[in-house]
Amino acid sequence: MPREPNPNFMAGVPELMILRLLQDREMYGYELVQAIKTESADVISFGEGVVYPVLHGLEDDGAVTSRRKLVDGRSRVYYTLTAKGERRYRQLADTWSSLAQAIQSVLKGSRYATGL
Amino acid sequence: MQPGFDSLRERLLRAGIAPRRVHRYLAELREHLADLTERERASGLDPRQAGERAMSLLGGDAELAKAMIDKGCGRSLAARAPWAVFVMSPLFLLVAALALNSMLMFRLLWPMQGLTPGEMPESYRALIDLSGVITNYLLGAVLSLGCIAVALRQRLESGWVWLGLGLIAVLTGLLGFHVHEYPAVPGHKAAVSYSLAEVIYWHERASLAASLGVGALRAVVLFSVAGIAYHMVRLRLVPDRR
Repeated sequence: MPREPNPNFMAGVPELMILRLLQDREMYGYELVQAIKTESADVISFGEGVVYPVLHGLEDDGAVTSRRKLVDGRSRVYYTLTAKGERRYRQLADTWSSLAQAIQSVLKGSRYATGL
Repeated sequence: MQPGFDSLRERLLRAGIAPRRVHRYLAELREHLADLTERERASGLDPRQAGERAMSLLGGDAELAKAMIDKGCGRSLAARAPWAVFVMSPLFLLVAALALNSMLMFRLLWPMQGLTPGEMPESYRALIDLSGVITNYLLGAVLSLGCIAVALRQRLESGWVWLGLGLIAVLTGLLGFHVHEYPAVPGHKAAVSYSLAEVIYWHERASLAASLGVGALRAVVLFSVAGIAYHMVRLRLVPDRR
């Protein structure tokens, strides 16, 4: 079945998830995408190559650093979270948590349900 | 999309992404594609199917290009500030080259004071001639070549490129390095002098009009050759702009 990318609503989500995953250890692009898919049970979907511009943007901002490493005969670019990236993750996570709570609240409709 | 990502490369370069960034992005995509293909092969698909499936998972040309372009990172200086690359940089390099040459000449000619031109050592004369050829003929060509190389490498279609080539032609045409030897004549001392513009003699007198004319001719020749070369290579690299 063809993959259907999520709409623009997803803007910022890959960045948040990448920063979260890099908190645990350094990872390379393919590893990050597979981890995002596994953790989100394939709900979050995008062209896998799209992860690299996000990583480059984070690197330009100083949120991650990269280094090329030879592992099992394959050369890969590994990304590591910086202190700045850690702070950025906390800000983003707070914003998304607030947003998710607000959306949940609207979906439940608890405030106005009794008035109907 | 082609396996070599040729069309994606073209899209990104034309969007002003720096060649170094494009190179890195494509290298990472190739490595990612190799991992995906390997995984699909391991899942039992034949090589062709595995390749197609991997390409589909990686993302299409448009999606991959949009992700990089929208991110706004990695734009080249030539795309962000073409005036700096094609006008200011050649100007700065020209001034720096002439300043360096002037310092060298000053150091070389200082001990020659008081000597007649005939007394100047041959090695000095050869060095001065070489320096003259470099600043008068090669400097303009090298700067133009650099300007063209940057523009072509980044697929730039900017008027700034033509302005840069024009500026280089005019400045290197009019400016240059010349050592004049004045032999001893009755009533005058022998001398060696240095100037930043070619002095043309007309009926044994220095003529400003002739100097400007020769300078303009050199500028026209350099601009024409550089412009034609740029145009021809650009048509080969970017055929749809024909």
